[in-house]
Amino acid sequence: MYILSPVIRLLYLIGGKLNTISLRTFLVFLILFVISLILLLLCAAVIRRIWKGWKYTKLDRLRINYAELLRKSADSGTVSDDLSAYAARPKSVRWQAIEDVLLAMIDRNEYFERARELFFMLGYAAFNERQMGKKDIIEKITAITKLGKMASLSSAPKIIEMLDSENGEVVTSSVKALCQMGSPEGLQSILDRLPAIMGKANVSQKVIETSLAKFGPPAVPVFVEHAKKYAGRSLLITLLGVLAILKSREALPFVLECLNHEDPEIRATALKAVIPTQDIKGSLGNKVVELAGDSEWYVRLNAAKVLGMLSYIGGLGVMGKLLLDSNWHVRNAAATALTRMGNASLGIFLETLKSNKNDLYVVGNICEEIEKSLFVFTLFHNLKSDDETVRKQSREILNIMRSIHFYAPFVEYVRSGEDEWIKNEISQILSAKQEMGLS
Amino acid sequence: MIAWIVWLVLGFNYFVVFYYGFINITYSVLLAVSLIVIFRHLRRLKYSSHKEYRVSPKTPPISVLIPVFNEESVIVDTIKSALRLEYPYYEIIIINDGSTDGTLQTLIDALELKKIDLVYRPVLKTMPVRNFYYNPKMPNLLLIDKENGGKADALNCGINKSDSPYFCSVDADSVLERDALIRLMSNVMESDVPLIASGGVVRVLNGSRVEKGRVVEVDLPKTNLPLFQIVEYLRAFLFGRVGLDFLRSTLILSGTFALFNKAAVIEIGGYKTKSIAEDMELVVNLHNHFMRDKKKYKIRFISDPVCWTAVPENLKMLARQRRRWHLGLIQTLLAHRSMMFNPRYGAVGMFGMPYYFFVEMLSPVIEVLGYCVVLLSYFVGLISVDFMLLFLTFAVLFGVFLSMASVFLEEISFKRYPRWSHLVWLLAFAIFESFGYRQLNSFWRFQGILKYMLHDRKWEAVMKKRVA
Repeated sequence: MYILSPVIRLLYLIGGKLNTISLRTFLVFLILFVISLILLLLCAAVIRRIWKGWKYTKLDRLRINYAELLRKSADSGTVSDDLSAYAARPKSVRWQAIEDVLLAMIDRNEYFERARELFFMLGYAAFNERQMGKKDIIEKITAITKLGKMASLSSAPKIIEMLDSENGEVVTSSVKALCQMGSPEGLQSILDRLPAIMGKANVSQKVIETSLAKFGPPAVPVFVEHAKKYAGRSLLITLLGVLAILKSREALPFVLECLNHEDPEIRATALKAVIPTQDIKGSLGNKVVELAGDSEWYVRLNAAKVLGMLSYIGGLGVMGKLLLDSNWHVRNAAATALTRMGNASLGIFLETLKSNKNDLYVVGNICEEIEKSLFVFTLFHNLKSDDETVRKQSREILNIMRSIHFYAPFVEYVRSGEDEWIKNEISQILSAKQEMGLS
Repeated sequence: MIAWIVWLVLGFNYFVVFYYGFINITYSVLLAVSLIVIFRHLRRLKYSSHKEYRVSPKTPPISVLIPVFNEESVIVDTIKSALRLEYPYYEIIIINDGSTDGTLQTLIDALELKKIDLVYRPVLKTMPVRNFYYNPKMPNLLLIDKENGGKADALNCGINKSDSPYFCSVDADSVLERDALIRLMSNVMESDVPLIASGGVVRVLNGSRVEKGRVVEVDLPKTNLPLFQIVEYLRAFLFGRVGLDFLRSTLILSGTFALFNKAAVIEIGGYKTKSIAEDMELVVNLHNHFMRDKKKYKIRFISDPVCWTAVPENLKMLARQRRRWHLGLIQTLLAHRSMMFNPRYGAVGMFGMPYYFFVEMLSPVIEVLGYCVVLLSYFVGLISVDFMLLFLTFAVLFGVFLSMASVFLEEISFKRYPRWSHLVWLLAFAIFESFGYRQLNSFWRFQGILKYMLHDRKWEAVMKKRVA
């Protein structure tokens, strides 16, 4: 009550004052206030449009002029001769026009080195480095982003300091900028701070993977060395994610090692980084076959995809098991992978279809993938194959598809197929009333 | 007895003044917040990374779900616009919800589709699926033909068949800008916390020129009603949703254009087929579920991705739409009333839900009754003509101010209407809006409340002008 009493006294005072002003006067005041706001908005909208119109007309004109000037100078090698032609006050329209032209040249890889050189000589790099010291987060990240685009390697140490910022946006921009400029010390700094960047600063894994991949294949040994030395789980997954984008042969021995890791997510991510090369097909294939029996579904899924990529015949047996996996993603991936193995997969398909005739999801999955992958047309052409086993197996699979109503491509082929003999065979399959034991 | 009536009427008058002051202060706060947020967002946008994500293998795949019912004249353009999206990996799933016109055949002919047999896993229960269609030359396009079950049912069907971890719902008469998806997804990729739902801006397509599924020239419509709606949409999106998003109170993401994490939606059982505003119900349900389970998540409104959509051009259809929206709002708020003023639900419970209840839901009632009671008070001599006229003038002028502020926001931010004549007309209609159109809207929304109270909750179909 003691605390409230001054507040109550203040309210009485205000109430007393208000009593002396009539409600009518108050409303009139409010109306006039709102009218003035409306007029202000009207004026502001008109003035702003006029001003922006003038500004952007001038900016467009300057951009065109400077683009032409810079190209001519770059072609003749006289860019550095007369810098006064490009002198401008920071943040002026002229300044912005030159900056936009230089950034566009860098984006399009036109006169890349010339453009970079000019950024330094005209003071853009120095200006943006100063902007990085501002309190406003947006000014900071804009400056960092521009330095990244300019590939201002000399600014790397200052940007590296930003990696320790408390602000997640600043850290994200710094990571992107260092990766864009391809700074080797930047790369090392990011890798050293990766746990903090992902943990404290909460920079997302996808941003890090996308950014680090910009260093390209030359950085693969650095990623591998770092991953081997500092084997933290999330770090390893992130680096494997980067290697999965880069798909480098150089990383293959390390990736193969990771396939044996105790953590299933690391195994699964390592599978994504595998490249199907002929010389390691055998040893890799055996390892992947082993992983196709993993306890985690996402490992099995990636294993199925890799086996499909490798077209590894040694994996046929395990693929048959994956067709019956408890997870439908794995079943689908196995079916898709088998369709890539051509006629070698016929036996597996047929055996699985026959032995699981009562499980419509298993059977349906297989038939769906056969249709979606257009493997069904391979089966149609196999009806004319010289190999009796291939002919017989293909026909049996087609019969099963027909019996569970997966026959849309059959009708399509009969209507518009090329081979009359095959059309006839398919028509017979369509019209046959066969007891397949499948509902 | 008469004294009691007089006291009641006077009391109601004071209540209206107090209520009106309260909602205007709320709108003013939202406006101020929106101004600052949009300015800052525009400065961030200039150097956004969405162009890099357009070509990145790490960008997650999306399923674009387009539920269709009797849209044969516009659907092909919508599909063409969807096929031109600048996004690395996406599939388009069109769900024909039992159309009774030639929609199905139009799609089959225009896209050269053939039947395909696929397994349908009804993770979310839906009406039966009849057939699937595809074109081998467009492997990322699928048409599902199903029995009619409503928009929510069609979307659930699309979710069941989707192969991607995210899906984006798009209306059949809408045109997505090419970079709309990548702009939405950039925010998902850069979010430090799972962003399970996000939506962009919906703009009025009427009057603009569309060629090959793309808006090639933005223009204003020639008729009044869509012009009013342009101002209204600007107010709703650039001012209302931006402000509410900043206050972490996004409860509505327009069903015309919104991106969702599929697993999150399946976790809550998908779209509710009994709800009239299935889009709002989904978002509120997501908030309810994730906050109750104390999971980290975000739901955001992003102001730069754009989807263009046609709006009703006659009063009858517009009335139906507004009644339906308000009915849906009431249904959703009451279905999740346990979140109201519940600190367990953070800003959504303490600000978002009360805002929608007291400001959006109740305002038509207060407004309609307010006009009646104020006029009645004048005629029985309880208030002077001065006071009545001044109050009404202030009410109308403040509405004008808010609408003009929205046009101003558009002018300083995205400026999609480039010509001077556009600015003049938009400002003019921002003024005219408060002289009849807003009052009409309040009346329709009031009707929506009456319909709810009288248990008349059926979906009223809205036909919009075909913009080709």
